[in-house]
Amino acid sequence: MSTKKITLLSSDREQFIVDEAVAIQSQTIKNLIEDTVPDEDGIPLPVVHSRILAKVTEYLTKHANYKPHNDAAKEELKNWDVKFLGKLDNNTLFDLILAANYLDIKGLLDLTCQAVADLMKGMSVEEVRKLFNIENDFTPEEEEAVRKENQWAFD
Amino acid sequence: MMMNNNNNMTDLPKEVVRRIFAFLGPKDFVRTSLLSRTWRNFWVSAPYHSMTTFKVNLRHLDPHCKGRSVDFLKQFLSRRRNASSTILQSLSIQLDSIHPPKTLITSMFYRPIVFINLLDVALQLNVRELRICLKESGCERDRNRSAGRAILNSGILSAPNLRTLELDNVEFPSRNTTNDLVISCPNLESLVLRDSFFMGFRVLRLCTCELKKLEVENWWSCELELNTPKLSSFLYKKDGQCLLDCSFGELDVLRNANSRFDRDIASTWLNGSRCKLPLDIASHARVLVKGQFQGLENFASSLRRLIDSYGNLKRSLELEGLNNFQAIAMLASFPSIEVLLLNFTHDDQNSYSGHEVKLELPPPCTLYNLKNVAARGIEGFECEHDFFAYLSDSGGEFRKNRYDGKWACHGT
Repeated sequence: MSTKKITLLSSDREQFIVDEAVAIQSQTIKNLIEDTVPDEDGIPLPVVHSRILAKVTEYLTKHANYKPHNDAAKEELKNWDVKFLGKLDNNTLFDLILAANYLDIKGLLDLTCQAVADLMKGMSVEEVRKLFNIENDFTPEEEEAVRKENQWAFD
Repeated sequence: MMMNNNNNMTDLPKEVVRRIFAFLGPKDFVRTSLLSRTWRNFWVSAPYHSMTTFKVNLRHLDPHCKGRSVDFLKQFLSRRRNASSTILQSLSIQLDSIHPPKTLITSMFYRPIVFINLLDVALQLNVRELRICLKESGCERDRNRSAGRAILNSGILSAPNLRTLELDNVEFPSRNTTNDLVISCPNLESLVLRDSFFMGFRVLRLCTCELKKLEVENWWSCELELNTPKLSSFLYKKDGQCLLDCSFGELDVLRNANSRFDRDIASTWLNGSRCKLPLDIASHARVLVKGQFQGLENFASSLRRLIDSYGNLKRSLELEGLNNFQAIAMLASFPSIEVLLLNFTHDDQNSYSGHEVKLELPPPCTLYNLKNVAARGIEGFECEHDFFAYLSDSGGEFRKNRYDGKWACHGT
């Protein structure tokens, strides 16, 4: 296993030094390593702030080469994920989703998306709109029609 | 990063929001239609993660067979189908109460309408994956009681779109019309039969030409016959001492057989057309071959392929009840064998009696890895010596011989 180090550069130009095996779990970083001549300071990730990149590398380091062989190990990793998520406020969670999306880290993206979906459980429609900044462009009649159409699901 | 001034939250791109919604529960998923015009019909055609684990718990169904969740399911699924979106991938029907009240059991038994209704829905909507689990965890299963008796529509057994079928704790009452129950779903790729009974049938016949994965756990009932040319994985688990009888239509495609049971009980038998092969591969210690073999060469090559697929199988072979010719023909197919255990049984009914067999030795094969040979039942017949001579001619260097009381060893 290569222990080659990779330097990642956040949007605020903070350096993060990680093992290559850790970094290449991100498809985007993997492509960047392969396709570009590295910057002197490291691989620039201009849309990821150091605050978020610290979280991303924390996740990646835990998951690097971690192939749980038994249920206990799987359980442990799962617990770690839950704990990891538990420490995040909604804002960080959203930023993390964006970062996972940009960096193309499927595991982290699914984990964070699931977390937001769980967050939405029991939210009112208005709360969901607010959460995702969705503008209600229904006329009252339209909204009533949709409500009627899907009445079977809203009981 | 773009910030939203109103609530200070980051705006997520729509594709990410879609992704998040895919993780919602089914009701919340439908509720996204109320958000705005953009989202109005999103749920009808969008990919939906949770769908892969859509669960209906029979316990929560209305006892009057008009379960709300069944209606919900019907609506949900048919709406999504009408939009020519991804069809229902997976339906999981569960009864997982820890201590099911008696009334529930009887209502299941006497009114299986809800259940049939669900299966009809599944069929109509071309379900790809169907899991039926009628678990009664926490109470000792009484095999005479019809707790999870399910009447499967015959349609399920030949459903054209079904890819995965899992039956857990399901019983199939015989319909007295035939001895054989046939599962013939043309696209079925994975079948799991767990604690399921097929009472009154003589044979459960799988005629599923696409079946790749078969898992059987705790099998009590009828014979199982496999006509599954693409089967590549066969997993057998048990907690007691049970026999599994299977016939492989074409054994030579079996690539991955894994039987999980106690090391010492080699009681699973795979019946080839004229051979029996008990597998004890979970221990990764040996493959035991016994019985009378005819058409041996084909069988041996099948077996070799089977073993080759196990990288970590210690290449050890135990031969029992074979005559020399058979054993040698077998060995020729295992050039990399490392450990050979021979059990010369002198059964009168076996054509092997030592003297009668006229050996026609095949050309020597090179057993370049053979390190250990142990044999038992040696009675000094000439053909036994011939056999060992053949082994050493074939390049076997027996560096170690094992003797453990039962095994008489024989080296070069």
